[in-house]
Amino acid sequence: MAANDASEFDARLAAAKAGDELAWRFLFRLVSGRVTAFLVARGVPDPEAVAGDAFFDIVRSIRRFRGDQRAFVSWCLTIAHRRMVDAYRAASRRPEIPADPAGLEEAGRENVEEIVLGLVGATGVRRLLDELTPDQADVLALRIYGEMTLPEVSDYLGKPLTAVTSLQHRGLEALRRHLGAVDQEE
Amino acid sequence: MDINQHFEAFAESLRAEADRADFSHLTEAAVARGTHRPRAGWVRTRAAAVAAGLVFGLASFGGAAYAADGAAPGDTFYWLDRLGEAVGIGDGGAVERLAEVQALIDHGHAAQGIEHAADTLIGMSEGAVEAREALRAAADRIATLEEVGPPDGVVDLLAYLAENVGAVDGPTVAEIARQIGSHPGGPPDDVPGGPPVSPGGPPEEPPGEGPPDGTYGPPEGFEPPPSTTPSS
Repeated sequence: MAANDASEFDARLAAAKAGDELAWRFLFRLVSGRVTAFLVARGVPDPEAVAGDAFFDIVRSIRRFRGDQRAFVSWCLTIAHRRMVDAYRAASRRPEIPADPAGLEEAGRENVEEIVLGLVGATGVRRLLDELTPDQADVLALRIYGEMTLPEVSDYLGKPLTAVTSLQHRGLEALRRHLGAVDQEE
Repeated sequence: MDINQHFEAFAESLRAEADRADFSHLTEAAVARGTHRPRAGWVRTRAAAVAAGLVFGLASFGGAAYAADGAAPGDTFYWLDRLGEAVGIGDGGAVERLAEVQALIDHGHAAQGIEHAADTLIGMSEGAVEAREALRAAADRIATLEEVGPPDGVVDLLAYLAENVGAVDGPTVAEIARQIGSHPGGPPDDVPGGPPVSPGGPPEEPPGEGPPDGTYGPPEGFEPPPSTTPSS
């Protein structure tokens, strides 16, 4: 079955590069959930819009991509990550001025409580990742949604493998403290 | 279970949630961007051809030619990408056919390229038959030439076809085609640039005994893509 799946992916990738609509729908079924959930988990403002931008980037860059299905998913997640970085930079340059402080507080509460885009898990992990440094959160989110190995994350982020390993370790330790002593019962 | 195993299990459940979700509505615009909107029926045939490894028909296009010229398939795709953006959707695969014509000409098979253009890029409008016949006559003329580089008029033809993809004017193409292979010093004209060939009439016969060996016909390994554009 694995061989059939691999050759199906190869054929779909080639067809998408040739502009075939069904092939594109196939490829996006593989990654649209992962990309959107990643962006929700990283807490980006307006994750749907940023996801849409990432999907455009994927289409524009598809001819540069070579690899199997796993590599494709990782590649799409790195594209989503870049769009996330851009979105954060843009948001930081545009401080929102609330109409009144009470209104802002209420809006903040709603944002924290609502499930984003129906993704219960991603919304939950967003709250956890919010407690980490951005670098720690990036490493964990790329590993979760992109299924990237630490060397792949190291390559993409341009950080040494030791640094990335340390970020993951520190991130998990911080999560453990926030989740309570889950592994104490073992 | 240690923290890493907890994390792996947690990560798996998050991935499963993401994979179950349906965000296809967020991908519609990108799908449209990535799709060359073809005429009905074309997409499945082309997908089948691509799946069989005949991307644009260039995958089996004489690897030796590419190696010798240093040209990579990527170069053709880049050109195609730029042209596709300019043309937009709705060209029915003409952009890919044009890329094939270009590739044939680039690799020294101009006669074949012109034939391919006649087969796939002329459509059904008024004057289409005239255009096809003029192109085939041009292909016959230049098949006997042994020039380096595309003969005069071929560049003009490509430029016209590229600028008018999906909406070529038959008589204009015929006029350009008559100039191909007709510069001084080349073989004598079959068609002296006089009155247009009447639609439905027989094509002009090339002079003499036919093409010499080795300068006509498809290059080794070339397989034209399955033709599913409206028939000529």
